[in-house]
Amino acid sequence: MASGSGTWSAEAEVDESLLAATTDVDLLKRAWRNEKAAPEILQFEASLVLRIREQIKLICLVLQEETVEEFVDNGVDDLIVSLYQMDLDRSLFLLRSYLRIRLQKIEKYMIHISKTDLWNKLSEQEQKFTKRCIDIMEKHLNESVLERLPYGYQSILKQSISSDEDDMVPQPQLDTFVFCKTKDAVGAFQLDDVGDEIIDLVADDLNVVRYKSIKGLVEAGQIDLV
Amino acid sequence: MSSYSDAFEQVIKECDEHNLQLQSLIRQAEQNLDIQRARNEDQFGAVIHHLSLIRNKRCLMAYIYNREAIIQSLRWKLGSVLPQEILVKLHNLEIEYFKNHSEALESYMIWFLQRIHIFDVCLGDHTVALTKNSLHFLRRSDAETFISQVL
Repeated sequence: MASGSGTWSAEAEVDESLLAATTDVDLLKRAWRNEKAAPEILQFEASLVLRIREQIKLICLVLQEETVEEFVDNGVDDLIVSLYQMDLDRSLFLLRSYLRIRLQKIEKYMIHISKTDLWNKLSEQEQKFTKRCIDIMEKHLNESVLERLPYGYQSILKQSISSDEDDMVPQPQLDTFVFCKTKDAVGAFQLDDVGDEIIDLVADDLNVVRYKSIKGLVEAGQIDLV
Repeated sequence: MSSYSDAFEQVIKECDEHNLQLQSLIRQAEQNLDIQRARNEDQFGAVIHHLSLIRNKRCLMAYIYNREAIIQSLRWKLGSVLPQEILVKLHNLEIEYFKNHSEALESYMIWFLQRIHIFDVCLGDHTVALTKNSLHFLRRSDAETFISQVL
């Protein structure tokens, strides 16, 4: 955006940060897509979310300034304002959807998450939310069913006290098929522990595999889910 | 409405009966030390009662748990106030569950909103341009409705 007057200097700064924001928005888009496609919850992108939030605040500030000052050429300014608004739109939608998908996964598998290493993939706020949800759910299940069952069958995690392990905890289905695209070439990759299925993962290859097989690669960032 | 359906209550009663049978069979099995066959019969009977009990428990838990999942999705779809035709179908405990769950969601959202507190101010003037998403971005004086719209 060509600019000459002093009032545009703040915008120049925002321009640079917007250029950097393109990369951040791309990162957010990627995180959002992965989260949407994966059957279990993925690592929370804390620093990315923080940066996006700051950029949203920045754009809002610029928009505020735009509407306060008087402009000479209304056509151009409306265009600029609407471009900023579109960018704001996009960032907000991605961020909201990302957080929302995660919350819904937490709602579905809260006990499983709290008992495995998935717990560490949550943000602090999400952990607080999860604990609260578990308390609410336990209270409800206890009052509705469990307290009315005979002694020895009142556990929320086990079918009865004779169960060896927690057999009443719903878990995400890691066997589901997902579409995935390799980012960097991985080369020969063994899909299963059982059998000899080896596939060659080349960059930009589109595949359909079970999530379980590529879980490690997704976490390392070498494969993206689509 | 203070109780679930009759079927629900019947299943609970059945569990109690199974348990009574189970306990008496276990006692009998412990006392019957002489005849091998009799003891096996008691044990088998006990196992059947136990398996029936945990099957009933699974059914009851699945019923309540799935209703909970539906109630959670209602919160996402309809917001924090439920229409009357749905409220009459809920048990008192479920209405309480909905309220508590709703509050947990809102305290998460409030934290999120606080981090972009400028959001409320800056979007107040641009409702016209954002016709597509105006539902989400319309400024409301009622903070609660606004919060429930955000996520």
